[in-house]
Amino acid sequence: MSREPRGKGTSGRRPPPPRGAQSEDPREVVAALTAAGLANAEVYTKRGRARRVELRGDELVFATAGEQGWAVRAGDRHGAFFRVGSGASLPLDGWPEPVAPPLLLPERQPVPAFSPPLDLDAPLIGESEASALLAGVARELDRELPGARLVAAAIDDGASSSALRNGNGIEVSWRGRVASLWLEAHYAPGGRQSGGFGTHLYTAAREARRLAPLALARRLADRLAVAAAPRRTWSLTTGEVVLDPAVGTAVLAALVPLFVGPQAERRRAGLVDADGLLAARALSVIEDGRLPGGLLASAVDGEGVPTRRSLLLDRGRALSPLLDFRAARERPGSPSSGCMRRFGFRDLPSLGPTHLYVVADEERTVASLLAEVRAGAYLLELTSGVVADPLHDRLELVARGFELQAGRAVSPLPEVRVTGSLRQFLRGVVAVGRDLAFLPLGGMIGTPTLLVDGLALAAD
Amino acid sequence: MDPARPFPWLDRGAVARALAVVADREGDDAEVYCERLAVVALAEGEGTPALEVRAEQGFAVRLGRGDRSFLASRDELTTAAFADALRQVARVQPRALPEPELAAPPILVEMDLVERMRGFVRAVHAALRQRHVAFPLRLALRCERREVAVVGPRLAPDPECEVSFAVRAELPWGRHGLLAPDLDATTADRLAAALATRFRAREAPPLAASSARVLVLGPAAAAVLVHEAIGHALEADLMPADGRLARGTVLAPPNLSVLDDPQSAPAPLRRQADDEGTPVLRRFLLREGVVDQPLADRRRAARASDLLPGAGWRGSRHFPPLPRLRHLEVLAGETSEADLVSGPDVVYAPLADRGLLDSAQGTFELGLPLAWQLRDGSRTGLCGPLRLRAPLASLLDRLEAIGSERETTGGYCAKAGQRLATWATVPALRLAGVDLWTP
Repeated sequence: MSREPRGKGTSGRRPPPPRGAQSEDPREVVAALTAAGLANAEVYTKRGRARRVELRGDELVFATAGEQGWAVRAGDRHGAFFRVGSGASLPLDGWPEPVAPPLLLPERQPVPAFSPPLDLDAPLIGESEASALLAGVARELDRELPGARLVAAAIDDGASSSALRNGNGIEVSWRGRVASLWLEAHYAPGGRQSGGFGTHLYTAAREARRLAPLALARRLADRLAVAAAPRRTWSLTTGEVVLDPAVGTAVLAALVPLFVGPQAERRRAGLVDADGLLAARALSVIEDGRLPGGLLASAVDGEGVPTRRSLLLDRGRALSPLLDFRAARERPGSPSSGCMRRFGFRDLPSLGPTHLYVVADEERTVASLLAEVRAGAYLLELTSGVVADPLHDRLELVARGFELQAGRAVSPLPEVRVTGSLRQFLRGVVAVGRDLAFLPLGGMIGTPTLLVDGLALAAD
Repeated sequence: MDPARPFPWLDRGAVARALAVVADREGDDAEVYCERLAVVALAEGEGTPALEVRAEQGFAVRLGRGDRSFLASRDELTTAAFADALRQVARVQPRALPEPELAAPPILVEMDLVERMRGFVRAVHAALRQRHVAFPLRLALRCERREVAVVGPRLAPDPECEVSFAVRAELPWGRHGLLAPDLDATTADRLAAALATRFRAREAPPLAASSARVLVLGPAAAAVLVHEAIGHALEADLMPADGRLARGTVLAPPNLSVLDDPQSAPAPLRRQADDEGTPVLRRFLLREGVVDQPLADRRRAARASDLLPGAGWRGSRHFPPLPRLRHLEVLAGETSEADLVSGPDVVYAPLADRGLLDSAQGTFELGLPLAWQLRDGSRTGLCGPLRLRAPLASLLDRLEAIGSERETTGGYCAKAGQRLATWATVPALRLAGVDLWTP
């Protein structure tokens, strides 16, 4: 059940490839697909190298992976297929029979000028560098909070190059370079063997060697110190909450469905007021696939469509959601953006943000936000997932931080539950800080510190 | 790929000799793991493309020395890539490194599977019609064939092949999935029965509030409980360092024995050796309620004299192996199905959609998407989603009876982000005095 090339190809001049023939040239593959009556075709190739250093208890694992593979999406008027393989060579025949529905691929568009980051060529972190980074975090952590220890960690540092060609004239290539770090720490006051408190931290950078052990250790230590504080009963029916970017980004990530995809408007319909406002005027949200300095910045997306900056929320007013070209076609006048991501050669492109963030206020320091709080909490770390339910207008999360009174931290809160109306949360954003920070949460999601009013807080 | 004789072209002796040059110190632990994958997937309805065909191959070289492991993996099976990977893991560059010929032929994918999958979809829809139910349904099917060859410096078990079929049903009110050794009429009927029950339960009322209930978990639900609450707890890398689960610890009543035995899995999924090349064991995790032999890979077994290797499994060649379950078994009890559900107020849950063990706190939570209420063995009604949450030790103490008939089910385990097909042959379990709540 395979599609073999027609006798002379659509041009009448090109002979079919010999059975089992292969090629490393995407142009040849597209031509072979066309000759087989599969002119609706796209060829994607990817090559990459990644280094992973993992701390598991007392053991260190150093892994280097060489990734190389290809993916073909192709079809005719009636159907399509997705064919994937490893290695550098692609087949020129033996294509599967397409299955409905047919495939829609983008047309070639001019790609606006884009300057790729200058630091894509940095070498991957070495074994000794990685060991030193983890040892440094462990050492500084113990210094900041004696008895605290690093129990697990993983550094992933990778570089890749991709190329894509389709039957509609798109021929593009792009490169990537990203590192991530996962740290898990534990603290048992009194040196107990069991029980104790844990925390974790996940962050990303262009290169793993840019991550600073002392800063990471301090963040872990601060979180563990709060976690180990005595619990007490405390509540506010309506309070002011300051969200550290570690918490704000998780909330924004939970709200992505309100801003991305053709269903976004339907999802948020119940939250928009009579004036068409979804949120407070202090809140603006942007998605930018070519954000200067962005870790995932690229001229094109995973289908070769040019990326661009899209304003999704303008001072509280929701604008057109992030749409790929297929969804935009269904709505005349709606802008589309290159927003189809590919994680690897084995994956189909999927709709999603690259750098989605709350616009910062360069005039507001974190200290000035804290100073505005009469009674509330400063939340540093989530200890649960975020429940953001637009259908039932509900927001819920559990976090750690500090009780605030008259702008000052008065005591730690090892666990505080924040509940409220999602509508109230969005409208309750009083101010945003200038400390925009991105975290890897299914794309790079960014917020500065946020000051939000009108939520219920409870600790017990 | 020939499932009867995978990797016939691989010169395992030459690979072993090359590996021995790198693993040249006493105590070194090393292996080469080769895999070839063929996948055919078909999805109904919208979503492009509906047909996916994947053929990929590659390998990983691993060297363990002291408290460090070194892994080099590639997406190709070629001489040059193998030599490069060996040099990468070698701690000292050898003067001469044998370069065995690796000339892997193309992977053949069985495209006939597409028509079999279409036939299975028709069978499921027909089985639903026979049950007089109709609802929007999209089925996605996936057949995965994996050939594995593991070569150590001194040990090279025969290459093996696993074949599994995954089905995912997308419903307006959620998802339902199953893993099976074949797409046959029995599997289609079993899937239709589960979907019909879910359909009928979608608007079922919540369970009336009460505590200390009798809960009977059907085999599929019991498999999730045992996998999550006992299986993961007894994986050597997750066991608490304080010895709470050391060998000899009484963890459950004496009528419960739990094993892991990859050799007794359904035929297309049996394995004789793990992904480190170590022969597998018929391993009692719990023997009459007592911790006996936790799951361990070679590295952890080398550091603990009371652990045995043979349970090192990989989700992919790009990751090192971890101690994992492959085929969980619970020995059958003596209680008939009728006796399991006898009593004035019994809740019977045929399915579980999630199980979560909090090792640090020692608590376990099980999600049950639906349940039947029974009185004296007869069904009185269907109720909506339930949750069971309890300290693990006290939960197992509530085990009152074990069924005499076992069923085999499959699912995916995603420990440490590495997805792995896993199987269970388990009877129904009766628990007394449990608290259930409606989420």
